[in-house]
Amino acid sequence: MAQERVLLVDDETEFTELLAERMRNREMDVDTADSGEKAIEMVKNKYYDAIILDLSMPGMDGIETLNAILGDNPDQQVIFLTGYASVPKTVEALKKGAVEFLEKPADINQLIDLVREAQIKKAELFEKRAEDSIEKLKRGKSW
Amino acid sequence: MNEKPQREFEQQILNDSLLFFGKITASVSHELNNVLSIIDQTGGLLDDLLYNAQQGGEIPHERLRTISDKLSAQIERGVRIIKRMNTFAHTVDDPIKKVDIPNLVDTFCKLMQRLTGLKKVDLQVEHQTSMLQVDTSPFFLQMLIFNIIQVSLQNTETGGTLCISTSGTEEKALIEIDRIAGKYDLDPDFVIKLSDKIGGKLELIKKGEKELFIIELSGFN
Repeated sequence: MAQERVLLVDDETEFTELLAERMRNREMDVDTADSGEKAIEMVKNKYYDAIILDLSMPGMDGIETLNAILGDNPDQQVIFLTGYASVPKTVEALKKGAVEFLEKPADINQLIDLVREAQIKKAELFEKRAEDSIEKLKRGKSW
Repeated sequence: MNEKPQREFEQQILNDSLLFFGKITASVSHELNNVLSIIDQTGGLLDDLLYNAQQGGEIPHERLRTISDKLSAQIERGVRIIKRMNTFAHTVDDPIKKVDIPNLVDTFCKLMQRLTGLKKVDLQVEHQTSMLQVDTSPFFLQMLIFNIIQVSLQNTETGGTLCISTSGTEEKALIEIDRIAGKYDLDPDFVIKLSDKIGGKLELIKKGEKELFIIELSGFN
């Protein structure tokens, strides 16, 4: 598979910078955003295999950010990484389309495995959409 | 006061006290978790650099210096957070005591900063005098300040400034807190009864364009 592209979103910039450095040392292409608003803008301009998103942030929180991102990119793979994973919040996030919900501090190897799974999943979804579009086109042309 | 309403009131105070304590401790523990996560990742990065060195890579001395400095800064941050939490936890030790009002307001507002920060509200504190002591309940005073700030935060979409200032004389201390008006407001009965607990009273006044809550503390005589 190609190099994994990841966006880390958290208002604790020291945390995202450290995690980004460690992931880049593992050959990943990593960007960071310190707010939900910035993340939404960045997702419009670049393809990401996975977004690692904090739940509790000033302004737009993680759930609002997730809704906005999935609204435009329903196949986007989003992993929540947060300080406190209450059952209601976990259920809400997973229902709204997050693929995983982890508590900090998180093991980097676990995160990397999740990012790699996300890359494969997103590619499969993209392929499925492309196939569905071709089928629709064929039916329309009665081929 | 009749027995039933008094019991109901005491139960309400107990419930609200627990909610208040839980809200503050949850916020503090969230902040501390962030500090520990940064320290955890820093440790991980040191492991990465060590592994790299063992594989024949360079030892980046300058990078190690930066990492060490950042680690110290986070540990200091964690210590500050814990000390504030400890001060807050000990406010329940004495129901009534002589309280340094500017100091209590400072420490409590620092505890509130994460909560106000989530709404991007800038909490600004000002003291007209550094020495201002009065007999009061430190816990219930903080709870009243919390409730006042919380209502303003509920009425805020995002952004803005909330000012808190202290002033006073030997006879009384005043705490002025900006009010952001909106759908939410304090429960007047509850506030009156909480004011009894702190040996003071709460008023809402207009000062120019602003509305202010004023907590006046005269002690228990």
